[in-house]
Amino acid sequence: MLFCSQQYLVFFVAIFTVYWLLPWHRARVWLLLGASFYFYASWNKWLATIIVITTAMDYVVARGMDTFTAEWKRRGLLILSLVANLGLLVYFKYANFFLESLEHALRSAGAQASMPVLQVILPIGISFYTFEAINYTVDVYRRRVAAEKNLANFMVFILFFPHLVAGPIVRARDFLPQTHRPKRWDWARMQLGAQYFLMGLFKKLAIADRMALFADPVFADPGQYSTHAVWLAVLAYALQIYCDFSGYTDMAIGSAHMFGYKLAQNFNMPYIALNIAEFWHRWHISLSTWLRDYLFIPLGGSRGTTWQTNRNLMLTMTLGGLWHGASWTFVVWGVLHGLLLIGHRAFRSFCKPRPRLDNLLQSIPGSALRMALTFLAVCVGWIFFRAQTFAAAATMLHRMVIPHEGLGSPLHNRSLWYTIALVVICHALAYNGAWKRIAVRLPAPVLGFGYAVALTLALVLAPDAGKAFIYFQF
Amino acid sequence: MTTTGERRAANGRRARVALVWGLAAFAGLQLGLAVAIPRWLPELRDPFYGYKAARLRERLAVDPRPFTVVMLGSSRTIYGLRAGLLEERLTAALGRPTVVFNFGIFGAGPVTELLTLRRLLAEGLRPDLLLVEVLPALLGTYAGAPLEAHWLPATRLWLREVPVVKRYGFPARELKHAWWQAWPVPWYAHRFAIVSRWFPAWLPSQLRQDWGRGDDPSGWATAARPPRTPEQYQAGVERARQEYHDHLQTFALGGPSCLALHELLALCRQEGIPSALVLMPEGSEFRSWYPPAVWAQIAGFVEMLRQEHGSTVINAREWVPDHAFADTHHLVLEGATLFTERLGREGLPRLLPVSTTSARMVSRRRSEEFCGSPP
Repeated sequence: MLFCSQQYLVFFVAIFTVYWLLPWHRARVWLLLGASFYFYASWNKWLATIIVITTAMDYVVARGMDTFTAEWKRRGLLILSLVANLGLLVYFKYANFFLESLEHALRSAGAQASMPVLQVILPIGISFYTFEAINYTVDVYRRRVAAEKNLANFMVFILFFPHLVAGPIVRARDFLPQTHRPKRWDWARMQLGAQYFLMGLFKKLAIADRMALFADPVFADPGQYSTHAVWLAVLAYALQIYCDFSGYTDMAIGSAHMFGYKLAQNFNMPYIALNIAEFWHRWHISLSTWLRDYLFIPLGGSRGTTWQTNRNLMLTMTLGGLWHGASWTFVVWGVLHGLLLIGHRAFRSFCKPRPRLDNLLQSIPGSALRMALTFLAVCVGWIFFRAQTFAAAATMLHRMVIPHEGLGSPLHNRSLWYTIALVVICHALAYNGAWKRIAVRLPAPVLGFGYAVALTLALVLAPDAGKAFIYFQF
Repeated sequence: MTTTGERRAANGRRARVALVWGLAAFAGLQLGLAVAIPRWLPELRDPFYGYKAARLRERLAVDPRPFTVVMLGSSRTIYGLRAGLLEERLTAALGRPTVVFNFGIFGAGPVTELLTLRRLLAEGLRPDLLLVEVLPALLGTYAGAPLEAHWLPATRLWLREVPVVKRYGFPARELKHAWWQAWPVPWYAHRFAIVSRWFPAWLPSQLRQDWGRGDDPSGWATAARPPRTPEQYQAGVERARQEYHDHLQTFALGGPSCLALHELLALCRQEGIPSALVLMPEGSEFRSWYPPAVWAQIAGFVEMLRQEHGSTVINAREWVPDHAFADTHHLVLEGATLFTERLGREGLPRLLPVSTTSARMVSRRRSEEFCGSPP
């Protein structure tokens, strides 16, 4: 069930009511566990069973790693957990992709090949909860986190419905202690949760789904559209994916707050980044830090030679791209970001011994230029991320660079510019702390009325039948 | 100096007040619109009807009241009837001001036409002559709800109309459930009508509901867009084929739509409103999709309606050449003009009341006109 559906509203209100009526912390944990299983099972009962089984397995493995002292036993258990989790991920998500790619490669080499097509249903959220399970077992192995003794607590960590299907990827050391702490009703926390949820709902309905009206027709058949329409579609998609994903995260964070749990921030105004490295500190923070801690650093990080660092960056970003989806366009997107990060490091090294150039780049016009170039580079990456095929991506890029006649934008671009203006203003208010200062000074009834208007506006601007969240497919 | 505990308590009180006010304000906004719609903004409930009714009301708010001809129908009527072209002719024929109004509504069938007439009568917009489009494909029996139920959702109905449509095979329980689900959140339920009203450019064309606002004073907005290439025409024909062809092959006359048409004509008789059934132009390809036995059923039914209710039948199926269609059943500008002018020349005159001051005498006999001849 989608967060912005009536079904979720009924589900949430029911669980929320019972949760806070229950006086016992343990009962609340079990309620959350049951609710989370029901939430996942509403998509597919059998896949819900799989996630329960793998979670139970990781619980046992972690307890084993805590119990055993022999390094070979502990490593063996870790490998078991990694193989099981990654094996399931590879099977459900990548098996057909690898088989198709192999068949294509063999045919290109002149061989007769016909690979089987596996009938698999992709378990929703598998990429997210697999990474959470991995971060837990690795941290237990490294003795950064003690194995959770309570099975229900551990299962809530993995299955907690606000973050289950599209993150944020939660760290065990941040979440598990919260499962032990009894929760007290806190009006301020409820307000914070409601505010986050409302913000997410507005981003999803009023912005992301509306921007899809600009982007979807153009990405479906870019050859029909003019250069102007293609540029607008790319801009719209940049807004769509940001507001869709960050909107979901806000709703997840808001929902969690309302149960007394805190989830990590996952976005921090990524489009104001001045360079690509900063972008990755602001975009999908839970994934980028996971990749840094569990892939980049174990590969050697930036401790080795330049070549080794660049190799590690490229590997990390390529796998990061592949994580998003079983398609070569996602791989290329990852490779592109790898190249941008390598280029950024090289450029930084180039600027370091050149203080005048460095100062120029740090100036306001220089910063504006860097922000614009970073945004442009990210948008080019989004073309590969969104396009169904390389041919479509190539057509989009060609039309962006070489002026072409064609169909105009699917929708009057007035609503796009107003939406961009709104997003820019909101960013400005958040960036300079003005929103916090204003919100504190506003009389509570006015603030409440503002919530009502924002919610009503989100509902009015919602497009036709609810669109799924983009990151649900990953 | 406040302590941490006092600050926390103050923050908690403030948060509680903000949330309670937020919920109350949200409820107030919804309730406000739910009350405003029936009183001041009825066009938000059913914009397809509302804007046209408002336009017709404007036209009839003159003294003396003009002779009013209204045509009910589907998109075929929307595109095909250039009602304004007929007003001068009829005014001359009758010797009094005449309003001819195109009340076509997308997706309309007999049930929508019946509801439209009931609404018009309830609002005092009584026509002096009613033309009713008959879309033959909608007169069949179907498993489940009639075809037009797809285009008449609960949000476009007044609550009192739900029991009415129940009689014609609409899923009443689902409709009622959907109606009550939508009632507490009218800003969401009628969002397309709202955005169409004030920010139409923010919606793609298929979601806009303000088409009636752009109509000319006679309710006609535009003809169907002519295809630019033969391929586009074929694509349009293929869409029509997918919509109608299979239905016509397994067509069996009967069901709720026929009942609705009966009731509509009975209402006209009860109200003393002369009526005419209009079979709109269809291209040769569309006409070829009717198996002979099916057309015989339809023809027999229309004839029965004529006899039972005293309605005139205007069979315009073959009035327009194929090149004047966008997709073998929606008329482009040339086709709309041809159809309208011929309707004015041949179809309407015998339906008009005799004018004592007019030099032209119009026959009051309701003659049979079932098999039309090509132009």
